[in-house]
Amino acid sequence: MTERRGVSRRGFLKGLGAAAVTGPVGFAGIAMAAKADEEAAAVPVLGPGATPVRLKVNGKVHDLSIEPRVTLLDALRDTIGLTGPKEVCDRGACGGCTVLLDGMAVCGCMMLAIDVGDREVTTVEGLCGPDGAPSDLQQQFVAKDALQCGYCTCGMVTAAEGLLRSKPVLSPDEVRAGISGNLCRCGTYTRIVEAVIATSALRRKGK
Amino acid sequence: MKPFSYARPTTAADVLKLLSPTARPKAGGNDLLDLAKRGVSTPATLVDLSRISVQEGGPRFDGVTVAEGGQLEIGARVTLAQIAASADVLRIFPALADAAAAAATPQIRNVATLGGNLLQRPRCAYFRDPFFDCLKRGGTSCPARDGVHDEMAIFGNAKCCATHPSNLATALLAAPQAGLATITVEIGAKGGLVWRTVELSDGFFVRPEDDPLIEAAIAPGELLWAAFVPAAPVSAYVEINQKQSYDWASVACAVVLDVEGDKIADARIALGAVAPVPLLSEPAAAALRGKGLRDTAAWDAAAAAATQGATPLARNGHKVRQLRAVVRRAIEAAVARSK
Repeated sequence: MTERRGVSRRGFLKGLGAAAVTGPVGFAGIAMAAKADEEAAAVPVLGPGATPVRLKVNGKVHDLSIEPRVTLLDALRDTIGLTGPKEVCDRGACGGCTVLLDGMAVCGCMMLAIDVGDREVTTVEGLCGPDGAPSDLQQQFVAKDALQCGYCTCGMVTAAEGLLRSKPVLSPDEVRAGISGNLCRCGTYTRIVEAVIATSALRRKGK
Repeated sequence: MKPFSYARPTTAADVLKLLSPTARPKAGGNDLLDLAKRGVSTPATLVDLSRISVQEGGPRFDGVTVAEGGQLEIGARVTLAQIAASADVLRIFPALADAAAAAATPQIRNVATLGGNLLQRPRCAYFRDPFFDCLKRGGTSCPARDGVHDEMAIFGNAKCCATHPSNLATALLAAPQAGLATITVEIGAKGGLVWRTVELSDGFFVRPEDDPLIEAAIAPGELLWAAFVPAAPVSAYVEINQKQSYDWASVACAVVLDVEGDKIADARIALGAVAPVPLLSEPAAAALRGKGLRDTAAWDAAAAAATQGATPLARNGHKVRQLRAVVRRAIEAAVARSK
């Protein structure tokens, strides 16, 4: 991918974010918080300004400086630059932001980045092989034509991967229940279920 | 979201010292973040509950334990996914597993906890939008009364018509003598913890007439720690909603049956999403007592009795009929679990 016209929209927004977290407002905030909590001096209190947060994402360690209120989704998209997880509803209703935490599907929008701790985050980008080749599940999504506009696909694939890891053998009903946290407004559900079932069968055969 | 600081205590005592009306405990955080994103709640500090260790001598904050006598102890930090999949919950009080499995989405159930589910705030759209006046936010009126109230309360709705949002509260209320353990720290003392046990059917849920600002009798400096549930294997929870995923119940019912031979010796029927607090329906339970386990006329009578005294609003009369249907389904589901 090539960078067009010098400054991209994303790059511009990222620049704004960095200014906000390193500016004087953040540091003043830290000093105030320390004062208010003098009584419980032994308890670490972070923020409200930018604070160091370490995230392990797709096998890589990222040391970020972000406010405690930054969600995992915003940290992934705006700070790290992984735009596979999508922000759609921002309330946990649609699953567009689904990522795996130690293999378990969660909504990136309803989790604070600071809460991730030592757990390994996997985004849809991390499902690909080391050479960037699509995974078996991603290939089955293509083979079964399991997407239309594609906006839900990253979250859908990630949720399905979490489902397959928790239960390798799945019935169509179990797949439907397993992806019930992901909305597809194009209504491609039938083919998504086919793709997940086909992947489950392939993995059982050890392929 | 407004900026907040984030405290990371490692002991329950430190959590309790930090808690205040503006410093709120955070477990799964789903409801907390939703309210913060909408500007309904603006905590100055979030107190992380993920690092605190088990309290010596007290009940556990994590995990599902079967105590002597077969009662379940479930830590407030146990996730809905863990409750739904727990073989012990399915065996000892399956209604609770039903309720956990019916909540939210797989992603949210992986994070959301028992404590957070019980203490989540109502889903009333007017409560969750600071643009509107709302009794629950210290206002003077209830715009839902003359507004969109299709999904709102059909009992106890004279003052506020928001429904209680918790699935698990409805299930737990149906269990005889289900209780909750909470802890606080002694004021001025050096970390002495004070335990309190409260029975769910005895004053834990707060009606808007008593205090519209809260739904549960738990102090700002108090932490919900665990739930105790006596064995109730012949039990079920069923809800009806508009969508099967990420939707709070339109109506819900939890049924616990005490079966002797092929007779129902006793019954407890809890109704959810129909009032500002979960309700026990004595008329419905009375219609089942002493009746045959598979006496479907008695099931119908109980379902009809559950709607006694309903005061639907202009646009939610359908919930009375839905309630009748869900009670009938829950009785049938509970009976199916008897040996």
